[in-house]
Amino acid sequence: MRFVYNLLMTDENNNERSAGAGYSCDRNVYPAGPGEWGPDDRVIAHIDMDAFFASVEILDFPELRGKPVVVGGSSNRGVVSAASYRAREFGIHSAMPIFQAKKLCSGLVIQPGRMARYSELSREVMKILHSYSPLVQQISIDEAYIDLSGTEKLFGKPEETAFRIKKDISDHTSLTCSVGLSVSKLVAKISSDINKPDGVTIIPPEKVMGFIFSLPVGKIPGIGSKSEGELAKAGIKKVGDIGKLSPEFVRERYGKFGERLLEIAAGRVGGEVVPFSPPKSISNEITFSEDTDEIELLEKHLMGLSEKVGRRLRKKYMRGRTVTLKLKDSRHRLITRSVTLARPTCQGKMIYTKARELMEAIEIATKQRLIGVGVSNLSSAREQGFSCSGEPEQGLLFAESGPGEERWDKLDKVMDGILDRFGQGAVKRGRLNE
Amino acid sequence: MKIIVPLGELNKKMNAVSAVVPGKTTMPILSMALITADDSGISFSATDLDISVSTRVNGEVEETGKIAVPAKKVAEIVKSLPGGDVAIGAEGEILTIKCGRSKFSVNGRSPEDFPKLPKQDSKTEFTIDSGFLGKMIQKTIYAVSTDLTRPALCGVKWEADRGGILMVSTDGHRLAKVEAKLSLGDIQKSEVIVPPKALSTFKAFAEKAEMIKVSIGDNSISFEMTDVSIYSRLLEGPFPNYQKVIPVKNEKELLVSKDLLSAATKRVSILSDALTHQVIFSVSKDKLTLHVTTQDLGEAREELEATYSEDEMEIGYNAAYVLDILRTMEGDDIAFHLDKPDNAGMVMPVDQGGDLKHLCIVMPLRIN
Repeated sequence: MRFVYNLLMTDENNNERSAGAGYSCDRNVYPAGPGEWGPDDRVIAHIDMDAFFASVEILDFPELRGKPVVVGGSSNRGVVSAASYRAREFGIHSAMPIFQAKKLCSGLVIQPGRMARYSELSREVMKILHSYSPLVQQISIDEAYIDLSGTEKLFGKPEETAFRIKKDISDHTSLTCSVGLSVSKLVAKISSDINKPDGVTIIPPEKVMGFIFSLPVGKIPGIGSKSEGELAKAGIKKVGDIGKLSPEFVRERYGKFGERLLEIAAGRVGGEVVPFSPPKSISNEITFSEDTDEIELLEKHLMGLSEKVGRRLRKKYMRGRTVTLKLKDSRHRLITRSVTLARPTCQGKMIYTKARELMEAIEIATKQRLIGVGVSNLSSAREQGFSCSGEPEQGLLFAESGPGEERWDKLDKVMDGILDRFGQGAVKRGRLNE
Repeated sequence: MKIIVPLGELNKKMNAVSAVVPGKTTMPILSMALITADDSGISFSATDLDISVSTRVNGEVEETGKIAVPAKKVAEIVKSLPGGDVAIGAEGEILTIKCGRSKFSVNGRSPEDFPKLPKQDSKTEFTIDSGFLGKMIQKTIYAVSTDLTRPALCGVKWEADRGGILMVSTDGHRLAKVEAKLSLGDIQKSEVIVPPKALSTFKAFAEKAEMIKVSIGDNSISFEMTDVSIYSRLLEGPFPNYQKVIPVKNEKELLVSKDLLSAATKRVSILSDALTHQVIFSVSKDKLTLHVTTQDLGEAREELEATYSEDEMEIGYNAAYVLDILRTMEGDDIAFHLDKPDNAGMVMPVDQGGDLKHLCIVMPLRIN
């Protein structure tokens, strides 16, 4: 058994490894040597569920076990949103068009997505994380950071806690995850990927700088293949190589990501685990089962989506001022148009009206495959002087919402009440029933 | 060009024009001020294309000429000079500033690059006392909206006719209106929306009591003082129908001392919510009680003597709005004209005094 932190030492041997090879490793490794966290060191874990959607499908449909499974649109037009590890052996990866995935693997099982079920399990995972620390930052449905600093007395050493969390998740959900444990979000995230799936990677404080220096620059989030190529030309393959160049040169030559590399190489890889960050925008979109250029149909979908977006805004006590319409045609050409309103809104009707105006201004000559609507430029209703849940509300001198719009607000409120009580679809606008 | 200007005069005028220069601009020439020396004297000008200012400068012209100079830099240099007369010269596009043993050469620009200052297309012209005009501006400028998506509310509406001037401003939560009966002569009625920057620039320059000329055109307004002329574009309307929101049936009158109310509001609002600034006004028989309860912060309460004989009520107001009103009211006592707790409150000075009629409207914070 080889221990993961050995891999990460900057001895000559490891420096010679190619980027890929340096990251292969035994499963479920645990550092044999001391992994001492000092009192001032942060303890941060990154938890990443393994092939989350695909794993849930296999969990719910055991007959799929061992088969190459992807979750994605059932038609040839969709893309892979998750691939099981068996499917990945065929070279299938997320975001690959389904038809291409089918070409790579004839026996491919394509499961339609069941977002409600994934969300349910995701919530369960997050609940487990919250039982270890209040500082949980959920990045996406299947990924989160957790700040475990100061939990030693409760749960024992950080590395033990990492394994415990992993076991807890597996006991409760029968799903596996990979855990990266270190002193910062950046290092934790990069390390959780090292022993994927079902692995734990621990980079204790004294190994962090060595680990960072030996990292291929492409592993740094935000540095894409293009930047990587540019850096390679200057002989910068690993983060540690940046020390060969003068900081001034790096800043001038590589701008923003150069600056970031310097920061990282200097060990400044901060970033607090922020339990909640307010959303920047709220949007919904739909891909049609069949492309369409029928304006009526597009409008109908737009109305349904606008209602959904409005409802989600209201649930979060938020309003937004910018409405964005998104259309993608059969040739995947994307059009987005935005308009900024005089006053922030959370009204489905207002969002729909503005989005439809945007659509009317576009000449729809080709068939469309996708339509979406989003609201951004958000602020909490409170900041804007609107009341939420019993707070005082600043009165307005002029009826700014225009005649009759107060009634739409009331209608939204009533519909929200019905939907909260009887569930999705219990009430909708007449037009959406046609 | 060669001119000699006393430092005090130079400092004042350079500072004044550089206040008009935009902080950030995509057109570098707008960060310049134009210095002109000709047979009629010396003048400095600056513009941000919306507002232009020209000011006469007292000094000696030894040699006529013109140059555009970086306004903020020159103002900074002038401010740092020790004292005495300052000799300013221009050769080509280089400005020289000499004072005592200090000498500066500053890179300027050709005066030809400087935007031509617009000509006023005047439709309505009248003269008015600068102090009086300043007072009207002070009573309305604070209620202007800063919401750029509602441009008409971002200015003060002026209505001028032969019977006087009316100014009104509102941000949708409160409104300030001041009316002056004046004999402005046989002028054409004019209704325009004046941007606040033009008004604050005017106030900055109008330091001595003098009669000034105001000209209003379709798209612009100008103020002509002895030493300074200010030109500004107007904002486009329509301004909302403010008459409609002035309450007519607010019959419950509350009289209270302005200074006591102001001091009490300041005190209790220390504990008010940082966003809503809510202070509750409780009115009862000859008494006004201000109170604030904010979760996480605490409570404050203060009782004031007042004159009131109607129903008891509790009304929530944004303390900052109330203080703005009190700050601009004349006289010792003010009158609140109230209706229901959710309806607009109207505030006026008890003694209107002189030819001014001043009223403010403030919408309450609805207590849910």
